[in-house]
Amino acid sequence: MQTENAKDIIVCDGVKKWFGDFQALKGVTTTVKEQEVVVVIGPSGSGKSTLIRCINRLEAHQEGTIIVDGIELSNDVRNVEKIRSEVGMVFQQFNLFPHLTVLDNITLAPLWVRKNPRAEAEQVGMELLERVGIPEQANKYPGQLSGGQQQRVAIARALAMKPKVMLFDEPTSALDPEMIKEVLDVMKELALSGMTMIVVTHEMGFAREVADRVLFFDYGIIVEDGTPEHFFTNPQHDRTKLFLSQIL
Amino acid sequence: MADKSKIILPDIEEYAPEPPPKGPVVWAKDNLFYSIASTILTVVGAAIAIVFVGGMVGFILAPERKWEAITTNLRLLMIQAYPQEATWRIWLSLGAVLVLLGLSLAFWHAGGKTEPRKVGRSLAGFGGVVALVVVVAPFSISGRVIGLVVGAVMVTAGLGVVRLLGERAKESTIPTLVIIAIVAGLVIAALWVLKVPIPDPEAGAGQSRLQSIAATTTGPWTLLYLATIAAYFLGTVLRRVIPERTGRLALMVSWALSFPVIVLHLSRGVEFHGVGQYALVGLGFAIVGGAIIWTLADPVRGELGRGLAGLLLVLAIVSWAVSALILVRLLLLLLAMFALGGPTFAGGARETRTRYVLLWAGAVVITVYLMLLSTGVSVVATSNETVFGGFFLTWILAIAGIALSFPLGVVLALGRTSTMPIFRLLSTLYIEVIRGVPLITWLLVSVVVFPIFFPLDVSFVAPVKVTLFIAFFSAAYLAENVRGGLQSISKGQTEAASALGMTTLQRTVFITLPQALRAVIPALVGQVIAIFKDTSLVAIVGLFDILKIGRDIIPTQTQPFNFLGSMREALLAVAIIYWIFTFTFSRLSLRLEEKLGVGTR
Repeated sequence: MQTENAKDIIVCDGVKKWFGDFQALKGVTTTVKEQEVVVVIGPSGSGKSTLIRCINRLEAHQEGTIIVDGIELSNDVRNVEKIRSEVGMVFQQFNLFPHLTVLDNITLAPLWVRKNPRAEAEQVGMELLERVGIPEQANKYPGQLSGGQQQRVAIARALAMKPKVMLFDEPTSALDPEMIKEVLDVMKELALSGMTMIVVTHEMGFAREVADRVLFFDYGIIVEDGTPEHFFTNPQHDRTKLFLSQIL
Repeated sequence: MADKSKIILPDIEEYAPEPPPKGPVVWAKDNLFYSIASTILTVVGAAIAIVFVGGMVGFILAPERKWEAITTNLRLLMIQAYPQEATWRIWLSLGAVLVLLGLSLAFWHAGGKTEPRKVGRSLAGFGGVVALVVVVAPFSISGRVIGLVVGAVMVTAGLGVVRLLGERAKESTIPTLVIIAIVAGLVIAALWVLKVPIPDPEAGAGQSRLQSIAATTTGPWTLLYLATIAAYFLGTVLRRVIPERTGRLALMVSWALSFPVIVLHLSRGVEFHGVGQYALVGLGFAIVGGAIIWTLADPVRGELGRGLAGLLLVLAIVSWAVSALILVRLLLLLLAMFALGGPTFAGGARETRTRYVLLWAGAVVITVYLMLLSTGVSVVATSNETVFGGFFLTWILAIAGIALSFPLGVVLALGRTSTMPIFRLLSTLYIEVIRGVPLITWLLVSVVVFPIFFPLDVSFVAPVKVTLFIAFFSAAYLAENVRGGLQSISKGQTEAASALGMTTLQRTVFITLPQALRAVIPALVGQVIAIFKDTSLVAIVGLFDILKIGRDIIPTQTQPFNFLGSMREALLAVAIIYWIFTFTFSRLSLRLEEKLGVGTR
């Protein structure tokens, strides 16, 4: 998926983040290249979700720099809105807008943030629903859909903004087991199409199959950084070995 | 795998066996006498009901009751002193509202389906109540016989419907709107057919002749009824011709404009003096303002556009402190609002900006028109400012109060939940001060204290002053309700909206507010009903609303009829009139909740 000499799209340098007295990120430095698929794994509370929430500034980091697509994240609201419209995010709890139909969920941001004409926005919306396999649900409300379908709508909603990067925050953790596959299939298809993705997940199968790189987080730092083969067959750190022995 | 829930749920309902029908004895045993305590409660409750209903109906039927005090004074109760020769304006306004209603019902596909079986059951139940009442209450023998026959016919007809449909009951449904139309039609027909004794001054004291309750209004009511139905069918045709979204938008704008236009038409004539000046000002604003908005909304301006729009707002506010044409002040304020909203709602593609500027031009035309109306000469020849009275005044105060208090209440709620301390402080202060003082006090403030804050050349008539304070008062309560709704929205919703790059304003308008308002519909309807009833307090500042008329005017009439001592009749009638409408509101709110509930969870 990743091509040679791809340009850096996300650069994190010494990112630190505190919640009160608790330090969630203790200096994270990493770079994501265009079309790269990075899977972030690690025990809960290790700071992996915090990192991707910092990348589109749902949380503000306190030290270090994050540069997304050439723009440094700061307190400037315009910069933040610009970056957010280029970075799609999919949440664990889907967070669809329950008062809008599926199609309206998808077209809302293209209409009002991108200011696209309605006809165009709706056409793109329907195409995306086709892509995630549920065009027939366009006029239903999120509450009438299964969890897997809702998460697929959430992915379509993020894609409608034509983002350069997609962030996934444990996209399958709130799903019933039989629905996880339908969401992972959509994500695989997305990765193969060349989307830059950062995925926080516990799905080791997905990491092994799709990831270009695996980051292992613990206690707010990147413990292990490498290809899936390296990570699953030849981890360097004891902490990684312990983690893998517990989950595999 | 897809649509699991959708497939399973209806199946269970459809294939579940109907519970075997129970006889009335079994039903009573299961529901009324299933234990010693329940038996005691049933007996005591029934006794209280019998005593109360008997007493009430006995009071209504007593020969010394002067119900003719109500039937001859219906006009007074409804519109008080509004001049007879201008009554057509009220009918026209009512007609306009009902036509809008008919069109809207069609465009929103209003009304569900009702099972005839349920209608049959209610009919039978109602017949049973009629029969029970004539037995319990002190009716004459012939009255009891008639009542029992009527009750029996209703029960038979109702049960007949239920039995006839029997098996097919589930599939056969009729639209709820048809039932409502039939009931309304029956009421109108009753106006033509049913006669009651009305005192006749020409025949001498104590003489009366049989007349329809609303003799002079039967024609107009019938016309309005037919116009509403015609408008509905027109709507069903129109919604096939024009796109639904466009039609609905046009109807919403019409609804918003209907109230100011109607109130102005009811009090003023369209006398276009100064039309040239107004048109010129309007044209200037439409063109120059349009250009300003176009320029500021252009994305290349960026932050500068917002800054300049803010400057416009300051200018508009300053214009209220210096001497200027009211029209200019209003249009400046409007322009500032449009300019501020520009980058959010119209930045980007050329066509959205063109549409936004056209919207501005439309707003200018409407403002000029309303201002022309409001400067016209009063058409209703009265010596004082209380030309609005009766139930009519109640409606005007309630609608204006609700219409003004909603935006204010929402702004206060947003202020109180804002992250900016100054807004939070101001909103909290406002809410706590307003809520801490009774409405009656605020009404007195409105007529006694409020005017001294304005220059001498600015004065409002009493209904405007009390409307403002009713709105201020109710906004404080609304704000607290809406705040509850805002706090019930999960953090994930705003995060998802933020992650899509939406601004704070867009998040509020499209995501949090709609959900917050839906969540608190019951509380909001409670507030609407409260405003509707609280308008009766305006009697304290000398306005003649329906309650004041019922309590103080009708029981003191001696000419041409002697209605002395009819206060209890009048109060009961007023209470019933209030109840009919408040009950309708609460039913409608249930429907609204069901309908909007589709989206939530």
